[in-house]
Amino acid sequence: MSGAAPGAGPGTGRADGKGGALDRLVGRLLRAGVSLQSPILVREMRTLLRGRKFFVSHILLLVVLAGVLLIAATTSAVTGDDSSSVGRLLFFAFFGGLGVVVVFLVPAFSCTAVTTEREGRTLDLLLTTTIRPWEIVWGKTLSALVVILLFMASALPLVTVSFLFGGISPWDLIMMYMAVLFVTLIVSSLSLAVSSHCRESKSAVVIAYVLTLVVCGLLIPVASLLMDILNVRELTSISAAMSMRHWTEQALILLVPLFLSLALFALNFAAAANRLKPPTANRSTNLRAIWFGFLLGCLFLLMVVTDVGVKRGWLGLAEWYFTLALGLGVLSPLLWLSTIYFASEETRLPPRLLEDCERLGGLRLPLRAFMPGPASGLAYAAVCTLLIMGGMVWFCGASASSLDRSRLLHAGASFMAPVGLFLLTSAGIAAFFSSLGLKHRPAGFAAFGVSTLLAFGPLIHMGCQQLTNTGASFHTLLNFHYLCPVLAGMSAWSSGAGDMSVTLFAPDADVMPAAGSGMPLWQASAIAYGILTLLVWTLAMVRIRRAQARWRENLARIAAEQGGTGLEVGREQIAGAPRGTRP
Amino acid sequence: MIRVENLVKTYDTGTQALRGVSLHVREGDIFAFIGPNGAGKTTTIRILATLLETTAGRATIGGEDVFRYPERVRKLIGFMPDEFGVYPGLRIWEYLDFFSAAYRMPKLERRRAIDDVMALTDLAPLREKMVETLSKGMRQRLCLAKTLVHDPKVLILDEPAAGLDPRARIEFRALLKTLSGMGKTIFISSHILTELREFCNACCIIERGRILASGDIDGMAERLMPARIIVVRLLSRAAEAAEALAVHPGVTASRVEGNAVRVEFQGVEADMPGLMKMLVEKGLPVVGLEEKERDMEALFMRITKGELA
Ligand SMILES: Nc1ncnc2c1ncn2[C@@H]1O[C@H](COP(=O)(O)OP(=O)(O)O)[C@@H](O)[C@H]1O
Ligand SMILES: [Mg+2]
Repeated sequence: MSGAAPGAGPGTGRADGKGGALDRLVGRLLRAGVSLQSPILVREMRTLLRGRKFFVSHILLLVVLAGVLLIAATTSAVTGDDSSSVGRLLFFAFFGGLGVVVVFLVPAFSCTAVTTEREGRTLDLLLTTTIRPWEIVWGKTLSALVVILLFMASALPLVTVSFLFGGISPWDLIMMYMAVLFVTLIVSSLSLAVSSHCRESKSAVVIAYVLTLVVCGLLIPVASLLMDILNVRELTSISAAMSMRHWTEQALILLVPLFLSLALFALNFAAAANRLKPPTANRSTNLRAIWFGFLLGCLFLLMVVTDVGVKRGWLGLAEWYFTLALGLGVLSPLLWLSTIYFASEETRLPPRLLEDCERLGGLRLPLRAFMPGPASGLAYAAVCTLLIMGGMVWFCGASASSLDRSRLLHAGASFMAPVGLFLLTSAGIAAFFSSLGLKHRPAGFAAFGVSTLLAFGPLIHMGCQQLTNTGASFHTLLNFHYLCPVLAGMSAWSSGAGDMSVTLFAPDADVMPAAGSGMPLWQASAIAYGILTLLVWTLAMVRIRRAQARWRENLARIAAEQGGTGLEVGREQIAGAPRGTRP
Repeated sequence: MIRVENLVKTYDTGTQALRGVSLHVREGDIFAFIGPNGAGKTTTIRILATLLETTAGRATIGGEDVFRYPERVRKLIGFMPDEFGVYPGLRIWEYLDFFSAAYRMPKLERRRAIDDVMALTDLAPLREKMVETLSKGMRQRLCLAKTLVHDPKVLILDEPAAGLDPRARIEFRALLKTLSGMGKTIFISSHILTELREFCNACCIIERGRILASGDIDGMAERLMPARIIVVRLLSRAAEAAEALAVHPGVTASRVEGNAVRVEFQGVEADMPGLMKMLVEKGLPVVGLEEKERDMEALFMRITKGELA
């Protein structure tokens, strides 16, 4: 087998009572190593290597790739470039070809991986074994990786040709191979996620290709940003270009793609595995956590990249604001929508909770039991707020060497305080609606509607304006509500990057308190949002408490009628209640 | 071993597949789960096999809650669906090796388990054969072999004998008997009664998502068909005999069938000589009197009223 074959057997990790934690960790790592050797991988490789299709397509692709290289070599020979640029051209032509192969071959391989099992009626057999859902997905990811690895290994002689011409270092090769592997991971996990959600192979193929192209398309700006950082305008050796940059930039160039590919991989992986879990299991919590981690990580990276950019001089102030506004404009509505979605989502009660409930006599269900979504939604929103606000204020302050520092701080706070509080308010609104007993979707839509009204109706700001006596125009008012980054980004597109700093930092009157009033606008609006948040959450909590009391009464009544504790019935009500009904 | 209480399943399409199914399978039973097509057998079985969510109700297997601990239940059961495929491009032993690996068995144990189940299901001579070349009967056996590979306590088989030829069917039955002898609890569904009654010791009948009857097979016949069917054979004058029998105490129906009279009789065995005596006293030429065995097929038709079958 070409898969990883760790020689570690069981027995090495025996705990001898004393060195518990470390031993257990070692044992766990060893077992994880053993399970890398997935049964799924073994089976798929057996089938694959037995068929002729694999070898034929493999050789065909190699021939095509060789042809591309030949054409590239002859054209550059005709134009009479020097030797090392011919080498670099061949090198990048090779990886261009390899990239195309990955983007077109891997979805074809992976997106039918689960649907064929569904159609061939083997999935039920597989799912009723004790194999874990993530092991299935991991096994299938490994098979895609192995296929690509085999292809890369057999294509190695082709790329070594470019070394004959020079201009390329082995580091370039290693970095590019790593990049191809990461792209393979992203694309194959994406296709697997599609596959595990589709009924038919046909639709899976279409959706997987569309999504792959969209994701790769979204990654192109990131790649071009990195190229900009490296100042790569023509084909150069990447490792040479890297070595000329400051270490912070080098770290970014490694960190950004690493984070993006791992986060995308984790998202797809969890989405694929969740669908294969038992139908009664919780299928969304981990995905939710990864998704928020992804969004927050993107926010953080955005700030770091723009900050480093300003410091190292490849982003002017206008560009800095433009990038930041655009990035936030994409990320913050996503955060907002996700908060509403997850806050109004109701999940099944986890089994552990039921056990607790039994132990406690069944009458003291924790609050979470009724509102799992909003509770975690609140937690996420709080974390988001802290991160956004803290990060923004810090970075604004840190990078503001050339600008008035306090003005930037004010701008950051005026920009982010309402944003964070708005997230909390949205989560509260969603909690309120689902505490009314609405199902997931209606609750989500209602919360969405109400919080959109809040966002688009700058009444609060009008009020704040009266309060603070600032003479802000309607246009500047827009800057202060939640969707500000989007609008700023849009106006940035329309008016050109030069005006950018004007939109936010324009007249002092907007940001700074007008003469005679004690309170800056952002503080007033933060207070207004704070009061609103408190109000909404109090309402939701009152409703939840009431529901809890009703449920308790119900149990007591059942107990009185049937002579039991009522616990049995209560448990059944929870375990067996159709989605959307609450006890 | 298996306990199901008030299982209700409504599909997304609105079909009410189960409307309160309760049943109990004791350890070591061979339990027949009988019902016409569309009665809800597969739905029940897929819920038990942790593949389908229930709308309401509870189910435990070996004391483990099916909905709370699906992983533990999966370890306990061997599940054979009504329709299944095979992974192409594998040899028989590789196929079984894959499933035993999926059950997380260590490598050494795997080899032994595969040899055992192949011996049990008579697949040993076909060890190196490719699975996609197998006939339907062989595939059925291969699937049973994979179901057995982790030595489950409970076998849940969904219409395993459907589509088999008589010979394969008899072999399959013998195999199930062997397995039952090994102490396994077997839960087997079917829409055909005759193939199960010889070796099942408990059964329940489901129709339109409701359990119509359940219990020991013999007890159930007693309970559901209290009337004995007695066929009185005569040389002649069958019509006269039928009239005489119709007014006899305990007889609920009598019908002439050529030279014989078919009687539904409510009495116990001790009442039968009285019936005979009455006929002889009337001077009717009785040749013989024989009791029909209580036919499961008739029972089935009677219970389900032939509505869906
Ligand atoms: N996936 C499904 N979606 C909607 N209805 C279904 C589905 N599966 C089965 N049904 C319906 O549920 C009823 C019971 O089906 P099933 O359990 O397969 O019966 P049986 O196995 O006894 O023949 C049937 O009316 C069938 O049409
Ligand atoms: Mg069926």
